[in-house]
Amino acid sequence: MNYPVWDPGLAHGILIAMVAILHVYVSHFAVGGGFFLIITETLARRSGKEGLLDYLYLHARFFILLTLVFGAISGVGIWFTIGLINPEGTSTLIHGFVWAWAIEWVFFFMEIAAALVYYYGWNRMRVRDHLIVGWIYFITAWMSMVVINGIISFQLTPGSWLTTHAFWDGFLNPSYPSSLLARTGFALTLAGLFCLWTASRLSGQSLRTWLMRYAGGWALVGMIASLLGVAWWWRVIPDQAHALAAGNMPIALSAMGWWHWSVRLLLLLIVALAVVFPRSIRPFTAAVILLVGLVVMGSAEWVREAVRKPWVVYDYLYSNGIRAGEVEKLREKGLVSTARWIDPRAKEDPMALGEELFRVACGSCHSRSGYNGLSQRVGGWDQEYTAAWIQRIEYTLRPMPPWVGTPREADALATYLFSLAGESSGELEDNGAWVFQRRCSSCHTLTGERAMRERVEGLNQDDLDEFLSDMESDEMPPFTGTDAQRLALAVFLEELGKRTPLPGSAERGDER
Amino acid sequence: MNPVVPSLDLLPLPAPVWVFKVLLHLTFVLHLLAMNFLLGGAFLSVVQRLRRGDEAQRLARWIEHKLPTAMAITVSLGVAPLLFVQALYGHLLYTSSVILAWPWLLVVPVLIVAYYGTYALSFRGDRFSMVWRTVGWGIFLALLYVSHVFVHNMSLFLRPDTFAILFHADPSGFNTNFSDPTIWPRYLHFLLSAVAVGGLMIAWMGAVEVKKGKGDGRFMVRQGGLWFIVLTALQYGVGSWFLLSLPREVMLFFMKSVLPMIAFIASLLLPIGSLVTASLALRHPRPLPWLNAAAGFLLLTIVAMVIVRDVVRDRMLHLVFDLAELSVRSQTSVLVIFLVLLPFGLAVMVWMVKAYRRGITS
Repeated sequence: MNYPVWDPGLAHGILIAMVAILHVYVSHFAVGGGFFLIITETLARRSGKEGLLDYLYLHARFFILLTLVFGAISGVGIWFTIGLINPEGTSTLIHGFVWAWAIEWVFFFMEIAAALVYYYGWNRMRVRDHLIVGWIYFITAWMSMVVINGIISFQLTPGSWLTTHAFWDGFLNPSYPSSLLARTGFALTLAGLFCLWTASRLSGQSLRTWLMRYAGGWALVGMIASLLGVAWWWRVIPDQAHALAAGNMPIALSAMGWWHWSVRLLLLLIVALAVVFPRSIRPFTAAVILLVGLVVMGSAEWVREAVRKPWVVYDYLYSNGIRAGEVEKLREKGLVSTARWIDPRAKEDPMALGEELFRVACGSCHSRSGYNGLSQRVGGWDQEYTAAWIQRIEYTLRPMPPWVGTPREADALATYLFSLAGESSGELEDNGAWVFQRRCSSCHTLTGERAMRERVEGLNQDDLDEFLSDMESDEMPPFTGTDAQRLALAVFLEELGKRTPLPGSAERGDER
Repeated sequence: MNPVVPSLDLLPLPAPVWVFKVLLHLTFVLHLLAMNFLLGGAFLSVVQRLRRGDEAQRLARWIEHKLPTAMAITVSLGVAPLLFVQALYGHLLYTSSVILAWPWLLVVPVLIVAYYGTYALSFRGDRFSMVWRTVGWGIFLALLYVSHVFVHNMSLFLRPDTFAILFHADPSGFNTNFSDPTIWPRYLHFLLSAVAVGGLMIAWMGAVEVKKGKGDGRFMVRQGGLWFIVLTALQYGVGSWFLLSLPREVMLFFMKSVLPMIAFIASLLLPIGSLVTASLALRHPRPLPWLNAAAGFLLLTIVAMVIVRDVVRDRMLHLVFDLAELSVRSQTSVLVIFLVLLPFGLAVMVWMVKAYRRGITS
């Protein structure tokens, strides 16, 4: 409401994902890889294992080229991106935690300097000094994570900060320790996975085999720590976040699915290839393992972001820049009066105003079509229903910020959204399951949360038809479909209430 | 029509404004020095590659080897002022960034490519082909782009009167602000400074080599010194253009207020000192003391100019935003941690560099 909403033509979530997932992958490697370098260098110098130091030098070069360049600049890129897609949220994180960012900057600077000295000082510096620099690198890299973790975990579980607004209450929030454990563990895993990649290119069979098992050990230990952290984290996040991951938000559910299979696959690949058959790992195999690791990390981050919805800072700031405490005040005035960046030329034209309102109210998460697109959502609706649904949006199963506009503004937004949808698929219109899926499933499941079956149990077709004809309330939009659709829905609900097995196609009613 | 400007964040500033101002200017000066070596060095190395002669080729190679580290330091030192400027002026900077969204975001991939380019150039073998010449120019052009977008955005956020017009013209973030009369003189001012200061740094490092009696020190002093002198002299023209492009009210403010006037006059007079001393260094058998003096004058000039820049910024914004409007609730404990950590971190970095040099010399 306060800031102009950038309209890049694709969902903001896709933009941040493109920058952030690759960044977190590399930045976690920057932490775990630093620990790997210093421990392995110490081991190499003490054991005198042939070829290990030479390998480490090459690994260190790969390490700095990846982490110092891509890792560091993409980190700045995240900052650029969040400032563009959510200025209000970024401003909150800067004002609330500017000294944490400043402290992180000092660690970041020390980390960069130590990495450069460590690499360029290889075989040039005294061994003791070189090892100390390696430790400085790892400690400062991990401290960067220690600091940033406080800010990221704060967004999902701000805890008592919500009442005190005190720095330490927000920083040391309920999900801080579990999140740090999960991240530190996965950083160690990545140290192992990237070692598989660089070691797979070695020609010496004996050293390569040894390194594969060694890297596998790092990856396994890291996975165990990381999974413990994730399990702990799962216990401390809000109940609503669990509900989203369980299905109320399809994207979160889907990311959870990706995470579950990729974790299993990664564990299998590490044990089977790195530990049991280390000789089988070639650059291609190592690249595949790294890719699976990327899916693990990417899906985990996606889940974390998705289950926080519709908040940027839980119970404080919604994704579209509205603060929880200002909803009532905004409702009194409406969006056109309070949103600063609505083009004055658009105010008289419902379609143009609708597009402006789309940008202001929806544009921080939704695109017009494609990922998180609204054209798919309103397909099969009509304009009256769309406007009524918009005004009750906070009651949907999928968590959404409350609508703070006026009925006239909801009409304008509906006009615009409806223009995006195009024609509905007419051949399904008389199918009760389809009508349920389009009209009811935003707020009801068939048999799960807010189960429709319990509500319609024992009702016959006439009762249901009568109810559907006059069901409008503060929470329920009116049924505005055709008579044929209403009848089809009544028949479907009657069958549902009889507790007979649901027809296969009807299960789609649980897919939102 | 009143400018459309976002309201201030409801969360208070976690320290008094002056703390942020000091940190902003201190880190910005350091960033400028590193950036000048990077951008100036990238330019001077491609220029040396155009010349014949072993000395020029060796100087180019010497600079190329230093570019990756210069990039790392520039980026690291750039993060801090970008953080502190957001704390003070975030509501304006976020808005201008959204207006310029795509060019602003493009800075990130361009920087990544340029950064990898510096490593490629540094790690290559001794043979210098057309491909490497192109890489050198590519790095320089990429840095020109990045620096221009920064100047563009930092100029736009001083013009809230244009925010709504530009945003409504294209909410997809492909706008530019070339209609602002300050853009080109401001950019040219920064660009010439970067090459001039980069030149002086190279001359100074050459003077250290001369003192040690080795290498191409004399050539470095001459090359770096000449670029510094010529471009600094040109700055009087560009600087005047920049000054005249500012709103009249801002210009007059320097005549009316004492401290801004002192900073402004200092920024005009101090370069004369560095020009004279750098000129003397060019012909002197022991150029280091003269270049030390030139560097001293230059550093003071940069400090004076950063103050002038700050005055211009606040004056241009004074109709829509006054820093005194920001509410303050200090987070003392965590501020103390930062203030203790900063010198500790610097000391550790100094120790690491010393350990590195100790290793090389032994």
